[in-house]
Amino acid sequence: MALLKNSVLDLIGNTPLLELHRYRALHGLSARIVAKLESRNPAGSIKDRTALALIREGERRGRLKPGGLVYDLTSGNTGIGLAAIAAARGYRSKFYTRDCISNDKIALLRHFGAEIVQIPSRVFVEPGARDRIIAFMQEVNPDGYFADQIGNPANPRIHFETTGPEIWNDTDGAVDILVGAVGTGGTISGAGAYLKSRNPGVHVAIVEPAQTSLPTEDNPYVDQIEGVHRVSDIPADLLPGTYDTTVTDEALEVDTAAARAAARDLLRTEGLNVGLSAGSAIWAATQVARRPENAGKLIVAVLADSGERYLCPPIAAATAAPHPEILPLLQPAIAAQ
Amino acid sequence: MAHIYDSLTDLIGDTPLVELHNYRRNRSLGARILVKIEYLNPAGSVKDRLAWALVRDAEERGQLTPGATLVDVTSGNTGIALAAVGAARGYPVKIYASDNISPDKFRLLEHYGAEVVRVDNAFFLDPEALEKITARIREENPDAVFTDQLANPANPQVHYRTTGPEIWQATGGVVDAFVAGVGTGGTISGVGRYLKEQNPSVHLAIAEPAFDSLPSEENPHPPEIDGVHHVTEALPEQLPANFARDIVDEILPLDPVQAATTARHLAREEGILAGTSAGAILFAATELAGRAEFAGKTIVALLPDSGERYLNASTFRAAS
Repeated sequence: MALLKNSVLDLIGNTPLLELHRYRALHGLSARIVAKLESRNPAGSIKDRTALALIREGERRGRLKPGGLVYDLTSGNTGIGLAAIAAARGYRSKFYTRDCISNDKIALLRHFGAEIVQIPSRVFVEPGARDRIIAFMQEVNPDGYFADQIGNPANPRIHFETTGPEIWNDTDGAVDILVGAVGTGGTISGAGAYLKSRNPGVHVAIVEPAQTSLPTEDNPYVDQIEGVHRVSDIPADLLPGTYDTTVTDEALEVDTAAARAAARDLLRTEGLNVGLSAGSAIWAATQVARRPENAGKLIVAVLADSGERYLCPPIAAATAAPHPEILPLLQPAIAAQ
Repeated sequence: MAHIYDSLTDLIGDTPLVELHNYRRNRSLGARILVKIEYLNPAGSVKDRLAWALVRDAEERGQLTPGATLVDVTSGNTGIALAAVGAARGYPVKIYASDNISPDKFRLLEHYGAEVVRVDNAFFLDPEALEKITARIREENPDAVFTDQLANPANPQVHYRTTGPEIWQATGGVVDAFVAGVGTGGTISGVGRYLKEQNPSVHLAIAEPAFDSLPSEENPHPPEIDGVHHVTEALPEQLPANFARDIVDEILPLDPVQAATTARHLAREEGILAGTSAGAILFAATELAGRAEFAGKTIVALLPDSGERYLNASTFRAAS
């Protein structure tokens, strides 16, 4: 029964599990696939959970005061979640993003009143780029609260405390396999660790982009899967602090076209509109479901957001003049050309 | 106990009701405003309730055979909802829509695989437009099932059966006014009838686009509030059969850009995404909430969909 809520914060989490009966029939799968529908969070993605945890952490540590600023580096959904929660809690928000994320996401961030600073994609492919960008952001925003989705332990913790238990309870402990994409690694590390704490036999599979779906110096605007990162062959010191490699049993590689096809199959069989990271998770769950040893098993795939956010393809913002704030950050990149 | 849903249609309804504390405080409003967040339906709008009701009704009456096409005229959300429900139940969908609705919705309809017929918005200036479009749909689609959201009684019925009782229960019966918009009239007629049966003094108000904001022959494509129609100067034959006009106590006009601006304020003050019609309805609720006679009262505003669907619409682009 719908109860009266006092804030958008009260709408975060407790998302439904939906069994994909028609999708299973289409592919003749012997395992069951159940989707965790994170698009049902109020700002539209699983990152609402992360954002809430990060903001609560900032409040707990006294870093966020009324009217204060929260900022982060994000491919969009964490920003949208942070912007929504910041609005509800009376904070300003500012986000640094690549210049090749969907225009819908940028428009959404602005709708919530967030300030956006886009960084050319080529900056991200330079060695040490992430640390350099983070140091730069902290220097420019000395009084702001850096939410730090890729380093803040509050991120995996919220999934250990909410996403994991929800899956356990809603499947009555019958979940055999958890499948999810890795952005910060927070979801899989937190929810996976929780499920393993209840049943060490739970198999955790992650999906990551194939080499063909990754931006390179030659092709920084490759057709990529927003918010999904490669982790299995990345040196440990470059992995997000929020990703716990010990939770993962297996990594599958997906290319963008396969993720898109899986999302489309889901739309046409179940009426469920999901984004590309969710398409990746469904694709991976399908591969796992096809294995004879998984016949009859229960696979839970975490679907991070809706496809509604990706209908308007990114228009290369590379042609636009850079935000004046980031000019110092561009110096080495410009010099290298 | 395990809790796993078996179909998208099982996820429809039971949407949350949220009290707008920041929004009220920022405006020093005497009344409480509670918003019913319909974008949390699985295909993103209040029309999911309607689409499933129309499809189930047709199935129960034996009109829908597997693979039959569903057809209707819509300002987008009913089409998107029919496409989602149709996919989940195995029916293709064909949609007739004005070419003045949000471009985001056209993209969504195409993404869902719906066949879309764009109708020039100037066509709807004709006082007999509803009758003519209905006749055209029947003629062009003799083998399809016309769900007929404008006249099918399953439309107000689903709101009488679900939306109304949800509001009554979530408020514990403390609701003094209810505000909606009129697209088909199904929401206000169904919810309104239910609420008035519980408490005849519930005030029913609707938001409508102001007369001077309406499309005209000189300007057939102005910024519009998708899915919210002007009622006050309309002739009876221009009103949908599903709209019980006599149940409405008050009609509040506004400019469509004001609707988008209100939606933006809601996003920035409460972190809640609302579409243009939702902005219009909240604007009307805010007007009521500022009146002395509503001090201390509880106003429920139904927000039909999310702002995510209007990021590229002319209303949102013009909003401040």
